[in-house]
Formats: sequence, C-alpha cells, structure tokens
Amino acid sequence: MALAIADRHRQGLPWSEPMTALDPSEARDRELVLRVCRGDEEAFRWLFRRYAPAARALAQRVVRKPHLAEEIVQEAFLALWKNPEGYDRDRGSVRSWLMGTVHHRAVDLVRREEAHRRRAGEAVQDALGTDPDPAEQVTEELALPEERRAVRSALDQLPAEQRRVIELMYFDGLTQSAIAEKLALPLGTVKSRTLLAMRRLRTTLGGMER
Amino acid sequence: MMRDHSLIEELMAIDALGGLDPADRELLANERSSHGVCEECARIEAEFAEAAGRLAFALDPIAVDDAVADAILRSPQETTAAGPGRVVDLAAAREHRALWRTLVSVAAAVVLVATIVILRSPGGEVAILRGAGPERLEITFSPGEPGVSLSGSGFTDLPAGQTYELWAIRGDTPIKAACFGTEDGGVDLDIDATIRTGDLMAVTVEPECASAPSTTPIITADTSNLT
Repeated sequence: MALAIADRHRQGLPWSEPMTALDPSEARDRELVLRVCRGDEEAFRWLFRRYAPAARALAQRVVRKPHLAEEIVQEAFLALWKNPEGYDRDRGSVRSWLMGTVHHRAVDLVRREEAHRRRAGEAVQDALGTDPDPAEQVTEELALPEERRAVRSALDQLPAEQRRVIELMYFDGLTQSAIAEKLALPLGTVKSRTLLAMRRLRTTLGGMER
Repeated sequence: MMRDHSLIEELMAIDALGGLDPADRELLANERSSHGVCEECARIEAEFAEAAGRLAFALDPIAVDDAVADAILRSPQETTAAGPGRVVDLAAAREHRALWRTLVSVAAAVVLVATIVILRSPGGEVAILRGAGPERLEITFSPGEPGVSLSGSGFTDLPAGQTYELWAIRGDTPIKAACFGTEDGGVDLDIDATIRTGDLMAVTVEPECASAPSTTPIITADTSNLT
C-alpha cells in the first residue's frame, strides 16, 4: 500500500519519489501541501490563490448559486487547512484532489436540495436556477490558462455525444439516470458513453502524474 | 489470472464524475469488496479521479476574496478557545486523530468521521461528518444536554440486516449514540443522546444495532502503537 505524503514525512522518507512525468507545478503543489502539514500559512495561501478561483467556478457551475459556491469553496479549503494529510499523492495531483473535493460537495448539495424538493412535493424543475452575483468577476490572475486550454482541447476532442454526457454529469451534477431521461437515451448508452469519454480524457489529459 | 475489471471500470468512471445512482453506488461498493485489495482497481480509480478533477479547469475561474483564506486560517486559533460563536474542531486533538487513523484502518465499516463543528445558533452546535464519498451528516446538539438532531444525505441505503450507527468517542471509549437507516440516501432524525464538546463522532455500518461497543470493530482496534 502506498504511503500518503504525511506518512512519508513522519517516517522520514522522501515524500516525493523520483518521478518521470511530474510537471514542475505539481511538484511545487506537493511541496506546498507538505508545508501546510507543518502549519505553514503562506503555503496555504499560495494554494488558495492558485486554486480557489477554479474551485469557485466549478462549485458555482454545479450549484448555480454564488453564495453556496463560496461556502463550498470555504469548506473545501478549510478541510485542506485542517487535514492536509488527507492528500494522497498516489491518488492523483493536488489540483485534481482539490477539485474532486469541491465537486463532491457541490454535487452533494445539489442532490440534497433535489431530495428536499421531492419530499416537499414540489414540482421537479430547475429550481436551482441561476442567482447571478453582480460582484462576480472572472479572474485571469493565476488563472492557469495553459491548463484551461489543455482541458478544453481534451473536451473538444470528444465526440459530441460523449462530451454532452460528461458536461451534464460533471458540470451540471446530473446522475446517469437523470441524463438518460433528459436525453431520452437508454441508461446503458449513457454509461457506455461516459466510460468511453473518461478513457479518452485520462489519455489526453495525461493520466496521473506520479 | 487477471480478474475482469470491465464492470468496476465503468462504475468508477461514472463515480469519478459524481453520476452514480444509489443502486449503482451500492453495486460499486459490492464490486470493491469483491475485488478486495486490487492494484488495478486502485489504478483505474486514481486515473479517473485525476481526469475528472482536471475538468474543473475548463471553466473560467472566478475571483475569491483573500478574506476567505484569512477566515480559514483564523479558525484553528478559535478552536483552542471553544465557546459560543466559535469554530470548534472536534478532531483537533492529535491523539484523537492518531486514534482514528488506526481505528479507521482496522474498522473498514467506518464510513464517516467528524471534521468540524460550527456554531449554528446560541443554543446549539453542529458537527459535520463527511465520508470519502458524498456522505454527509450534520449533528445538531447542545453540549452536555440530551437531545440530538441528525440530518444527512449522500448515504447508500443499506440492505436489510445492516444499520448505520452513530458513536461518540469519549477519551478512548466509543459510546453508542443511535442507530439509523436512510431513505433515498437521506436521514432526518431526533435522538435522545448526549454529546459533549470534545467528543469525537463517527458513523459505522453494523450488522445490527449494537448495544455494546465491544461488538464492533472499533473497540477491537489495537491502539497500543498510537503515537
């Protein structure tokens, strides 16, 4: 079983083993997480400034409410500050881990709201809606433009029907069955398109940087 | 001989995107259990998680005020002086964290551990427990007083013969707080338990509502090597 970085740190092991495909920014991120393990506030701030804008965009895309998105981002980074040992380098990059945390929380919130609406007997509709924040602004500072280009390119390379499923599932927080219903497709088709798309994405996005 | 990973790969691909229905979440849990410790499964899951996480960067970023980071960084100081209006960290004590690391490693059935407690109102605190997946449980209580409210979501509805069980870890002793089931992955329940500030909360999956903690993996954990 591979060791989490905090375990490596405690055992005096090199926590960043020789890696062949680790890009400099990921190596720096891992170093920053290790420093956060030691309580380094500056390291935390650096990670926050670098990734909170993307986290906010993701949360807001899923929950559609700026104030809820901000809460999700705060929760996710609070978890990073309080439990940085939760990061396991063998399970992926720091940025994917952070975004995964945010996505879990956002989807969970959307599903809870849906469940509450169902229990209240309300009509199933897009009640989340949008709640535009006039103060909202797109930030280009630390916007990771190269990363954005790479990911958009990877999405663009997907067949349109696969991309649609990925967008609905990841960015809109829909379940496989909700997508099947929305697109009037058999559930099995949604599943197979998801799998094919994810196989392509893990290849085009380079897979893991161990 | 290499096991067939086609089903678990499909489930993991969808899970990485947060798209599994409850039934398939349960199926994935069963598949994981069936595969046991499996390097190929771990590789597949990690690669899909990596790809899914990267998707977030396709979006135009939205500025976040540095004040949010300031508030997060201030919270640990407030933890040491828990009181009304403060943010309290139930899991802050290092011995508790170390204990829990061991407990969780031994008790595979532990699905949630406490992360933070925040004050919701002058008379009550809320412990928020999160699982590795979408499981989330809010425990509203007044420290030292009977009466606790549970509100949760994202759980897998358990089959007959299994139950979720809430524990309060006081010192090294797990104290049963309540057993509960879920409906559509959610729970809303008031229980007659008493939680004290400093208790560490956990939820396990049990074959039956255990009356004594000695019947659970928690209490049988070897904690002799705790640091």
